Amino acid sequence: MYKKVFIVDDDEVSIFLTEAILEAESFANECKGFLDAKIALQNLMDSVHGSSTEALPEVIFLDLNMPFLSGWDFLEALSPYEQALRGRCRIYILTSSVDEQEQKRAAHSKLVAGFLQKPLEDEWLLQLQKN
Amino acid sequence: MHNITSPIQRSTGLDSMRLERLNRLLFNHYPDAIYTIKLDGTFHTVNETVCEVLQKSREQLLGQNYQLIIHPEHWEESLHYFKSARQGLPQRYQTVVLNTSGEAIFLDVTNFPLKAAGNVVAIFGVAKDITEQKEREQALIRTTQELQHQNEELELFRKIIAHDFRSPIARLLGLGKLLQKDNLPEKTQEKALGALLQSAQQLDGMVRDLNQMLTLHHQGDEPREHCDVEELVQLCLDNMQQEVDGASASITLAGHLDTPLFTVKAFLVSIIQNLLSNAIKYRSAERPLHIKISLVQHGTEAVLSVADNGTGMNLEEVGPSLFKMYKRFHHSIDGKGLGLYLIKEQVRMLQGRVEVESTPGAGTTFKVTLPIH
Repeated sequence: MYKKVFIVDDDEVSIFLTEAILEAESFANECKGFLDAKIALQNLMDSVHGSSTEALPEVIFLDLNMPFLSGWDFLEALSPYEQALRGRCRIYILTSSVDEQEQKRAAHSKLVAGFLQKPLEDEWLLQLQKN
Repeated sequence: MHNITSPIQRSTGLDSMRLERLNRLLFNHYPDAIYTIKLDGTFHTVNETVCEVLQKSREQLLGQNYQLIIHPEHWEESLHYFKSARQGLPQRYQTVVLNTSGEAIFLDVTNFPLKAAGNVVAIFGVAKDITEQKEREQALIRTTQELQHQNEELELFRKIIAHDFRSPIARLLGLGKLLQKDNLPEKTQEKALGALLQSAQQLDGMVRDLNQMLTLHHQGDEPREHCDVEELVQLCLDNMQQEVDGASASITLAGHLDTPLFTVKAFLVSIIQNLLSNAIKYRSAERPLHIKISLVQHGTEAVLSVADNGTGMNLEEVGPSLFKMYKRFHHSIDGKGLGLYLIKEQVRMLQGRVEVESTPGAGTTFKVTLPIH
């Protein structure tokens, strides 16, 4: 079981849904949902810089299509911290989009550990689960 | 065997014509405009085609400056070409002249210097009327632009299907699967059922919106009619009575709402309603909502503005995405983001434009400029 997981999604129902599935599958001790990607980003930065005592989440489920700060913007903002995040925090894109171009784009990002299409399937979670 | 005739046909009739007369006939009856212009810029000779194209008599033209027939937008360049020809350099260019009826005629012009004893004494020119060709070209450009626009829209629809329609569908699937699980906490189950219904409603709304949007494209040819703006605003307010009352909004009408507009009624109603709906949706929680609707005439255009004292937005942040489909700029507000897109499209079809001014925390004003006739 993971200690901490972030869910970044501008849609409340999506966060609730992902949380409920993660909970039913006993995926993590703590699930934190962020409606505003900026706040999630700030939290991560604080942990990386050590300005907060909060530990980094081990897994992030990141939505792509969000107003103001999209999932892509989020990844770009994190790119300077690629080294710091490596091995400590894995980012999975979790989107409802079926646009193949986005999958290709995600494959190019070193920060992205995987591309998942909503809804989150139990089988995928089994694969992602911490042994 | 064929009887091979000499390639040079000798005709006594033609033979008897003197070269000078031939030249004059050719000059006068040549299907393109032929003319000579003196160094001071006045017409020296013109053929019949010049008179026909310009709808002027030879007497009206001779001695008159050629610049007077040029379309004002082309004055500067035609002066430049004239000066170059006067310096002995042949010129070939396209320009626009105005005939007596005020119609623009596109000409393909060749001007070359007429020399005597090594000195330029006049400009000799031939001008071909290419108006039809130009009009065909412009029609082609318009068609190409329309096609491009429609292609962009197709791409937009693809994106809507791939992103936006997939979103409530993914939620419905996820919620369905979640509800299949055993021993789900009662609270979670309850919330999931509520969300299931909400997602289905959202999907339904999107299907309706998309349908409305696709219908819009067939309405572009709808007949325009004289619209009483004041009456239409009142109609919109009646339609939205519940929302207006629910927000306890006060509404002021100002300017000259009695200015009649010759436009598509259904579009105008939809525009006003969408703007009102926006103002209500993005009202501030800190003060009672006030909306001011006004109509001001500027020459041949009318500006319809809807100003609110709502939450406002940072236009620099929102920027060019404001009028795009399914873009939302406010957290915690249930908006499908289609309203502004619809407004933009309708205004475009009415040959108008829409502008927005906004201050975060103070309010937003939308200004729709439409042609009066």
